[in-house]
Amino acid sequence: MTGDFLSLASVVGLVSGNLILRLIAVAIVAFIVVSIGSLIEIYIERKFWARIMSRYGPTEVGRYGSLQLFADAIKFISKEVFTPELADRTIYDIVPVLAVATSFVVLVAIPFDYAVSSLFPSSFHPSSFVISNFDPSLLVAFGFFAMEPVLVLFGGWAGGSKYTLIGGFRSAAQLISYEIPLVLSFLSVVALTRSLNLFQIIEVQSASWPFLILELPAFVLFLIAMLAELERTPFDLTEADSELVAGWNTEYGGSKFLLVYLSEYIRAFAGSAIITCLFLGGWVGPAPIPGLVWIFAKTIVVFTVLVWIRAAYPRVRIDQMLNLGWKVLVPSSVVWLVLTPYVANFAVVHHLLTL
Amino acid sequence: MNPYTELLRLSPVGVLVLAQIILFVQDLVREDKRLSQYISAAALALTCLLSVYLASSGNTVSFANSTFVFNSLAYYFGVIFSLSALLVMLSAGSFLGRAEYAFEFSSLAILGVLGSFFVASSTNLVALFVVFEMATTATYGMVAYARRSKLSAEAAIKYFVVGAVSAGIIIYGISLIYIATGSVSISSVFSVTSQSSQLLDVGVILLIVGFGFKIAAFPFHMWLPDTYEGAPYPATTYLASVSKVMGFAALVRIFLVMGPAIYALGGLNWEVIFGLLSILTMTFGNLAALVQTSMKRMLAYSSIAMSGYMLIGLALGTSFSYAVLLYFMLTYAIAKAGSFIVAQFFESEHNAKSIDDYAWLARKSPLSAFSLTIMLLSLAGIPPLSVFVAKFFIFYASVQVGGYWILLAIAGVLNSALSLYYYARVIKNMYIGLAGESPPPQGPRLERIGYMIPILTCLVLTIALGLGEGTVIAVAKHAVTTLSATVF
Amino acid sequence: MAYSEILFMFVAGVTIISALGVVVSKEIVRSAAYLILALVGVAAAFSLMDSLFMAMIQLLIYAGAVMVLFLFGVMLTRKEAPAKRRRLLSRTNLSYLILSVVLFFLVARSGLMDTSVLGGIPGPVSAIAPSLYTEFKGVLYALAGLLVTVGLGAIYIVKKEANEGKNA
Repeated sequence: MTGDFLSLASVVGLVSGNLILRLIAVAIVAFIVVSIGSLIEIYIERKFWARIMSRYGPTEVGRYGSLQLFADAIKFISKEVFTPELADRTIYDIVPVLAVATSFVVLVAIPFDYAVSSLFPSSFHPSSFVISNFDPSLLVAFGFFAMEPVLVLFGGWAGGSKYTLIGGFRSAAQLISYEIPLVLSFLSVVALTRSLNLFQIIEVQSASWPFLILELPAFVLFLIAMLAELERTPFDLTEADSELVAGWNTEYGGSKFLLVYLSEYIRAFAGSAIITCLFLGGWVGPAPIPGLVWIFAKTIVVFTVLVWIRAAYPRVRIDQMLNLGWKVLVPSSVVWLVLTPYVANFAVVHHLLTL
Repeated sequence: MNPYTELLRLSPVGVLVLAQIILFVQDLVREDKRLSQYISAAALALTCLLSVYLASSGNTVSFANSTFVFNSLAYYFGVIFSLSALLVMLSAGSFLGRAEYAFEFSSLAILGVLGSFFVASSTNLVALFVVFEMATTATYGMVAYARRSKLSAEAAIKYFVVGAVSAGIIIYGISLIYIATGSVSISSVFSVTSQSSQLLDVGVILLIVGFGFKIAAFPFHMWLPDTYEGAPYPATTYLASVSKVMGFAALVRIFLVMGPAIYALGGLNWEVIFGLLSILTMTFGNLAALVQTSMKRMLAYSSIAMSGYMLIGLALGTSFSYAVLLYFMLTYAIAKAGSFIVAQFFESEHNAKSIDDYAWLARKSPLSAFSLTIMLLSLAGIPPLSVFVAKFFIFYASVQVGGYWILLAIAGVLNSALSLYYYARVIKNMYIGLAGESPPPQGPRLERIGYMIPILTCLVLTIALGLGEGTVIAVAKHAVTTLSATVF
Repeated sequence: MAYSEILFMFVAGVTIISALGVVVSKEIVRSAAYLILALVGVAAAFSLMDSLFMAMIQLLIYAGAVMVLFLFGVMLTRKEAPAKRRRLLSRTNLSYLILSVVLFFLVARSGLMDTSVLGGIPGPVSAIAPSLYTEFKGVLYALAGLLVTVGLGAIYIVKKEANEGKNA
């Protein structure tokens, strides 16, 4: 199945009715997965976090507060749509939409579609349905991940307020500086599997061990860098409530804020899913449970860990954050990248690469 | 090949790399302005001597999968680069003493020479571009070295913007050449399809334009006077010598090897382009230099004019003209660096900025004034000084080729006569003062040893190279013929 | 015309229009926004030419990282548009236009026939590393030297004053 590489060009070039259908189907799958995922995430964020702090979290709407999110969404949508007077109208309006769109595109590169299609019998064969199995799928995920700083800067600038501008600068600086250790630490996985295809990375893991074990330092580095990329505590100084009101999205309200909020959770979901695929073996699991359940459950567990970290650690200062990034993460990920061939030799994964 | 031989042949660049590492360590351990200056000067002197030896004994060694081939030509250019940078470092003492940090200047000078050395040795257009940018970037830092000075910042911004644009043009040209020939190596053998031959031509024209900015050929010269004027003197000296010769090194490297094939396959008569550029550049530079009142600006425009003379060597495209061009660059770099160093000395000691300020300076600093006189006369083309010899041979080469190329020689001779006027004005001011002004009383004589070492070196070399031109031209000719023989 | 060709034309059109927007736009941040659009358009063109790897590198490095640096510079220096309104039909713009038209025709005249050679089938992404580390190893060394130089120069220019550090 790994032999069936489809590039985006051939997807577009050979458009047949079948392929359009597949594209639409995959988009719908990704949409459903991410919607359910985001809902669960926000619920965990509220409930689990509250429990750690000995609070109850939402309790009123629905059983155990389960419908609170829908109530919030309705509240956001029904609010007045407004634009601040000093805002640059076009850019101000377009940034939330693009934020959601680019976050969403990341999910196309993650093999949820394979996990879904493997639920069905051979008549709906995985490899004919799957489109996330193309060569640099990992790069596609990160390419769209890297669009965030630009949008953040424009969002902060277009708001027309000092706080949003400073928040935008902080965000962009943080995102840019943590992209380097992020990429360097996943490079060791790429070096181990000799592939930029998330499919093949998962395949190699299923045949040996999850890279959580083989690549533990890379996993730790990647997790820290990903925390910073998702701007979650302890790296949430971009929206540090006590200093900056709410960061670059201060001036967004109503449904536009809903979009910004949603894009953050989609990014969080996508980031957790990338960690799952790179280090936790994706859809592969020890028990005979469908792959979709495995990959989804792992993603949610990773996200829960992120929430746990958020509850447990205080926010770092900006100089601490920069020191950690440049003086700790970058050098250690480079050192680990150099050591990776020895790991590969030790774990004898190379014979699997001729799959 | 014997590993020791290989090591010896790579030693000029090895010394520079080692010096750079020592500089980093030295700055880390203890900041010492003098020490970093001495380390870099010593390294450059050693590189210069090694390059002289290797250039004259005709060695070749390839490095990094033949991306860089150090042969006589590269070593010859290495001599020019390291010698001029050595002069810069020797004369930079008082400037660095006043600057906040000295280590970076020494490092940038070393890295710039390293980059230039690799430019002269690269056999691959992409590698050439990257090392070219490395050397250029070092000069950006040097031009902006006086961080508090607005003039320096303005000069650096102008230089940087022009440099960035020219880098874009060069890389566009390289990409078009790659599309046309399917290869980025600088080789005399390549093929093009009939359609892509014009693409090759466009690429080559873009390369000429891009490198034309670096050597300040006429329509691409506009950054030069302001940058030279605003930059601190050591940086100006470096730009006028190392950086300009590097631009020519890149052109020589490309056109000596690829030139005939470009003409044969693309049908582009690049020699005519260089010829036109040459006439325009020398005429413009000389005319503009005539009306300057500031010494630094006058020298800047005269360096544009000198580019014009040197372009004749590229325009003729014979192996003799290339050899003369190599000789010309050596003499030009020394004479130009020497005059800038004397101007620096006069500005710091006597606060002499405009040409009128040079009145009676021969009484105050006779030795420096004499050296400046010799170097300016050399640049103007007075026998038997070295630049005269270079000019003579380059005009002789164009007469030898014959046809319309004699026009280049005629233009060059007329321009040399023109240039004598503004050089002579400085000399007149130094010795007999301004008209209607009585000479100042005999004051204490001022010569500073820190400046006298590089100034006297330039003086001696200007005279010696003029008298002993035969050896140098023989080495240069050998360098050119080995390159055109051992191309791949 | 094939579906992909129409898509390519669309992408190319958007790229050209946003490239014009960079020049024409009065506000400098708008120019930057158009520049991003142009770079994304180039990335899309790469992906349509069967080179998804290049497309993503373009997106990661140019549209992502380089543009953020641009925006930092632009947004930190000046927010309002320059006081003197730039005229669209100035002599400078005219010379740019003439230059670009001449260049376009020079390239087009010779290059249009060569599309089959240009749009060759790219090799696998995994072929990049071996050629980078063997054939173009010298370029890699040169890049290392370039980075050292750039770092040194840039750090010097933004370095604190020598006596400033002692007081603080």
